[in-house]
Amino acid sequence: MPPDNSLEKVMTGGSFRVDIASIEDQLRELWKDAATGATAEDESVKPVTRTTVLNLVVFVDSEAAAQEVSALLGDLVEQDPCRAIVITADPKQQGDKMEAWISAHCHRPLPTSKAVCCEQISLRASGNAIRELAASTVPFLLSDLPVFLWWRGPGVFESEIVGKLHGVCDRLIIDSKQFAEPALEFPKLQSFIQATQDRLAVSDMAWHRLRQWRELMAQFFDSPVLFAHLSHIENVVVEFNPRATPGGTVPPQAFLLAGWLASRLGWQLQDSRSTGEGTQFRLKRKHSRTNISILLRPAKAPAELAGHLVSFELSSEKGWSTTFRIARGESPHCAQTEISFGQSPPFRRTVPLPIHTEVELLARQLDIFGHDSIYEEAIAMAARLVDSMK
Amino acid sequence: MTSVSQSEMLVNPLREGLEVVRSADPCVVVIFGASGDLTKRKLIPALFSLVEQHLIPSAFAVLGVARRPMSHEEFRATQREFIDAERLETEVWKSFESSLFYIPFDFSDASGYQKLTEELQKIDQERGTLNNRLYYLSTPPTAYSEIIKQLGAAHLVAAPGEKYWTRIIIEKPFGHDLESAHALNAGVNAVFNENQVYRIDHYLGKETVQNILVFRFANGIFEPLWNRRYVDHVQITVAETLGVEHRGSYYDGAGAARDMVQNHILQVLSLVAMEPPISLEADTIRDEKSKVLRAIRRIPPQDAFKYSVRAQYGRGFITGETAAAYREEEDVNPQSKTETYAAFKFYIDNWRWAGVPFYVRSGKRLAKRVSEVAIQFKTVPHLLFEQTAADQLEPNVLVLKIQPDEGITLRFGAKLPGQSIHIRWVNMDFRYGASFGVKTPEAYERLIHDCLIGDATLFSRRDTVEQAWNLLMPFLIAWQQSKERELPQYEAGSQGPSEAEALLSAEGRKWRRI
Repeated sequence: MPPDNSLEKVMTGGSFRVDIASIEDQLRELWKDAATGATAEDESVKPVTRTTVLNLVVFVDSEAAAQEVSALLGDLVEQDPCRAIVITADPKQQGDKMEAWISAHCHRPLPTSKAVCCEQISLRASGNAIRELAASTVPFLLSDLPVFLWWRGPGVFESEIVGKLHGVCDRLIIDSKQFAEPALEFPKLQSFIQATQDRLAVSDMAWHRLRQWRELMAQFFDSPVLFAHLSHIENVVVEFNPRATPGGTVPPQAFLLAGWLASRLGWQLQDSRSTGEGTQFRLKRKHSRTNISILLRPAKAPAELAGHLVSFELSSEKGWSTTFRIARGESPHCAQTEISFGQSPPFRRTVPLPIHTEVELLARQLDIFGHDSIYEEAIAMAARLVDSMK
Repeated sequence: MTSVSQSEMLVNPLREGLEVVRSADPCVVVIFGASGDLTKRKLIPALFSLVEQHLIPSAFAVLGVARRPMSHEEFRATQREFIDAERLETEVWKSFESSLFYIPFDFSDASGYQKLTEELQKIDQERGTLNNRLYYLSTPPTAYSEIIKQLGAAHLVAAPGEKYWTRIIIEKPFGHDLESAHALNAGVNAVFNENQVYRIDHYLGKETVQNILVFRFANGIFEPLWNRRYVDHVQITVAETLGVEHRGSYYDGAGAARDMVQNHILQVLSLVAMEPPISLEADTIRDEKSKVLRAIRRIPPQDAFKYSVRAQYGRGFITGETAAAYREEEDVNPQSKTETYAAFKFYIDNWRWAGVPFYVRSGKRLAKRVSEVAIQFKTVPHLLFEQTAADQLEPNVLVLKIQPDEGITLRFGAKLPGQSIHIRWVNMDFRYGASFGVKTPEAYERLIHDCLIGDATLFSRRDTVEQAWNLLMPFLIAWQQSKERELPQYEAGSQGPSEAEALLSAEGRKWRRI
């Protein structure tokens, strides 16, 4: 049985430790009480509705990260009610042990409606028990609901846990923005995607960060008048706010954006070189001798844009000189789009380009179920780009 | 001219894999009646929201037209009223605002359309809007014919085969009766091809209405039951707690049947009853809806009262306050015989629905605000369980809730825990708000975007508008010719008139509680 004050504690954001073998029984008791409001003495524990539309397994590598994730899940469940299973592999803890806690996240869709609640199971393992984390997680997955594994830590492609869980997961969520060494990790990601093609799809938060850049660039060429210019592009410039990591200052997103553009337009990589400005790739169109240059170069930007893209520009000198440019403006949450033809005054406008929070990015990944072939092609090209720099 | 734009035919490789299949083409949205409330309350906020979502290209402008003299700047200032203060502060609003223009003229003055032509050419040059036009008629319906005629005369409508497009959005009411609907449509089609015409029914822009299609055709378990073998009857309810508010003069000339049933309710009914379309193309869906409306049994005027009930609200008490009677409302004729409640029994004479009544009702000043479709299934053929006072055998009911509390409920019997078998009827409840916390887009936002990309699925086609009028005309004629001195009354805040119960009770059925 849960402790006497467990319902109040859980409904108000707390957790209580449980025996792993009795997690499901404890949760059942808890929700029975919550449904009737049997132990309710104050407003916070009035009868509730439990809703779950998916299983979300989150891997973290420290207790502090587990705390952060719990806070994020509180916001996430308002959009994506789920059974969350947070698994912590904590190498700093002594001994071979595994402990479990249960907690809940509740919110009211409307001030007058019943609270909607989701449950969280937290498993923390140390020492040799870390090897049992995957096997311990599987029994808590709810049948008939999709399973997402969010890997919020390093070493995803080498992990034994991923190897054991990928058979029961539908989707692995990563964030390639966190890749410290893109030159090593993009090829690993590409190999992983190929190796798990039949069983698992990969979602990347960094890909969603690029969505708005991709949308705005695509929008220029939706117009039948401007569409023709797409086949004359000769120069691409991606500007970024540099970061300080052992793997170089170019953020992984810059490679991913360049990979997306080149893969969509069927450009073939010739070579790459470092210039005084930045990193330059030389590509060619199929059946054409014209060279295309993609330049990734650093640019000054406000501190809050560290590791983010600053601008994205496509241009051509053939016939009329044309430029299509998206650049973050004075405000980091806006961008200016600009089309210019020769000497004519450019068409400009300002559009939102918000910097998404981790919860927003995660929520977006939970809406995607199948393989994203466009992403996978972009990754393959990004891997070739970084490989050419060796 | 087809409504398919050139950009639909080109495959933009950068669009592949993006959620939005394509953004709107470069264009100018010309709003007639731009000084009115709808423009600042709904249209400009919807357009701005589309800009914020990157659904509108940079080559875009809005040109407001109305009689009231105003400069571009004054027009821009009036459009800020319904945008949140925090969004107004952004560079995005400033950029959007600079694409708003205004010219004043009288809609019946031909020289005004010359001014309009010049202004549009200027905008095309400055903003690259490529001669594409969306005309939005946000005027009183009496102005529709004149504006359309003048647009045609001024050659402001793209002819077939042009590289640019013209579309027109017309707000309801689409006529006052069958004859006026015919006349309006004839005037519209004299200038615009039907595939350039978008008759907006904001009800169809609601997510839950669109979900009827998904619910029916993306789930394998319901469609086999969706017919006369299993369905006893269907109830469609659109109940409001509000009275006529400040629309007294319009409403008194319209009434509940014209205001709600002719458009919203019959559109919903056709979505519920239609056959599976062969694709999601606009016309394949609209063809199926049209077939339903054609299959609804026409009732001769002399039988109208057997199949319908109308009533008017009297004084009452609602949401904690005393409510005035309809005839005491502002701008309402104190002797008015306009109905504020209308209920109908329809039969759809086809293989799927033969013999299944569809009861529809709509009213103002009812107990609760609720819009829903309830599919009531037949009860089990043989009573296996002992029937006691505690064990009433009830039918399964599937309820599609459109508003508020959007969701789906299925009612079924379950055994009450205990030694003996007692049945308790329970609801299995799915609520949009609980399962999807995402804010649903405003209906206008969805519909304007659909029109900008040339998707007419959620707009009413001429034939369905006229079929709906054709269906209602016998009732409207019978009601008008009735020698009743007084309309049946119902108390504001109640479930509706007692006469409405008779429509169902003769067949052993009853209305769901509102």
